[in-house]
Amino acid sequence: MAISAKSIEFDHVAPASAGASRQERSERRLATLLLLPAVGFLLLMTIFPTIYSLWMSMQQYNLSRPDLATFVGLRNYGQLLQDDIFWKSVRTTLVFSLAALALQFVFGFLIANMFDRERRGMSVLRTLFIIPVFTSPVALGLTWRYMYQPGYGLINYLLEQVGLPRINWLASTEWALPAVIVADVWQWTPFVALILLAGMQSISPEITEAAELDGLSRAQYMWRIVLPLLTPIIMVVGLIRLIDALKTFDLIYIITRGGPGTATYTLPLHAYSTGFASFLMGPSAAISWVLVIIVNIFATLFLVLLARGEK
Amino acid sequence: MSAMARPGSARGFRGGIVVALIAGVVLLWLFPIYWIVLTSFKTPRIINEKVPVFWFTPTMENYEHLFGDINFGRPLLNSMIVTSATTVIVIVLGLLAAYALGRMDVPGGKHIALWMLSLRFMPPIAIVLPFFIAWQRTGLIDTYLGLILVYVAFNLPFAIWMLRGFLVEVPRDLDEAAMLDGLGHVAILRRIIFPVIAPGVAVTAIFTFVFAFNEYLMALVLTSRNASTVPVTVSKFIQPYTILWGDVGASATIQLLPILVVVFLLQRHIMRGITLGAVK
Repeated sequence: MAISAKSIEFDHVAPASAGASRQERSERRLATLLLLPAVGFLLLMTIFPTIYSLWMSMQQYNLSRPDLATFVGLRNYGQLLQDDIFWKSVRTTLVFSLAALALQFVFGFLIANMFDRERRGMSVLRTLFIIPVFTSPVALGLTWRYMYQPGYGLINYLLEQVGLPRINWLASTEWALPAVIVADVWQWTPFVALILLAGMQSISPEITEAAELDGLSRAQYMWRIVLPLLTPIIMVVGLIRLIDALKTFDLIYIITRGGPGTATYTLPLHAYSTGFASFLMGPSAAISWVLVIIVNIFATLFLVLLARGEK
Repeated sequence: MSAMARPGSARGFRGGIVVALIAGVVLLWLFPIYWIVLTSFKTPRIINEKVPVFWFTPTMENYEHLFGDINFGRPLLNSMIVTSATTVIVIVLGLLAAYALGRMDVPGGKHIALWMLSLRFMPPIAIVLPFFIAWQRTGLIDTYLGLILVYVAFNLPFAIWMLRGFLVEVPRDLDEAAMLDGLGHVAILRRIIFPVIAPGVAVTAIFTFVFAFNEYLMALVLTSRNASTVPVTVSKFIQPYTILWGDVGASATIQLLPILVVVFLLQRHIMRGITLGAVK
């Protein structure tokens, strides 16, 4: 399929033959030389912070008195397990990510389906539709916050016009999380839709014609033919979006700061405020490592899928 | 892509309705952007009006305030410097590495590529603290260089992955033929490969630029007075008792302009970049 296969093909992995010719050896040396700056830089920039933050998660560490840091082993993690806010933020993270993901795919699929026709003007509309993906989460988070304003926000005005009660969206423990999810869905649905669209358009015309000859309706065609064929793409894109949603900080922080109370505390926000507002560096690092572990479960799944798609 | 028929998409009447429907969906989808741009031209009194105002006499006072009292030029300059430097470094290092991974026989090349891809999954929140402490000790805190180093590390893996994807698509016979003609690697790269992948490089550069320009968490923690970027400055429009909506609107509009230009200039290539870079 267009997306996974093309970018994932690893061609020309040479068998390391013992009697490599001089030319091959010099080519290898050149390849190593080309790779060295990027690989070296990335090693330097990732190994140190990773180990450091893992080490920090086992410390009692106050930012203002680094000299008083003491090693406490897994105590920070143990304390997390008994912390209600932590468990709640795990739940909030999963609810946020899974709800956003599900909505992005439902809307993405419906919209891709509409786009999947050869008509004049389609490409302009497609291009316009990409814009949210490129907008700054800070700017668009504030835009949504403006629309959610209880007094002069547009959304409440519209609700009132159709006879529904006004809601104080971001001050309500019930509505704040859905409000944030809507903003994330708004930004990322175009991305999902356009990738699904590319998948739909890579389906060979013969298959489509056969479906038409069999008298399938558009809905049947989508459900019985397109969806199964797109499963690999859906898995790949789904995992990428899921992982990105789990990591989301900016959008939520700008719209609600995690509030009201802890209603929209996801793990990144919890780690941030524990570290940079309460200055509890050890527990903050421990929280983010729980996030790393969760992300890694999905990332491993993703890499396994990639490796399989390659065969 | 030929004009292939798809079930239930017969030309004519129904097609017209579908296009109108999609146009409606897209315009509705973009409404928040229209709304914030509109806000940027409103006076504070109109902004706080209970009934949303669509027609009014536009004012430039928000822009004057933004570049006057707020001194938005400074963070804009900071962001431009940091983001441009990041993009250049990422593209140079990325092209070198992607060329090796995509077109040469590297022992373990596949593992290196997967390792790089996996770096993209690291949650920034998990490593921002070590950078904060390290940058404080080395004097890189609140400097362009400090932020550039972090942004290069964040964007390089994805850039290499994307560039490699574009490079793999160029048939190998091309450079083998050129090699027989006696061209060296540099000449092959410049005369044969680069022209083919130039759009891919442009798209990768744009993605890098946009994501570095929009980045918030790292900039929030690693900069303060000197190197503060646009997103950090904009987030400070949220004040204890009020939000400077006029400034929010004006700054959002300014950030939107280059995106619009680029998206339209490179629309076809961006579509390809998005699909190829499903692995953003």
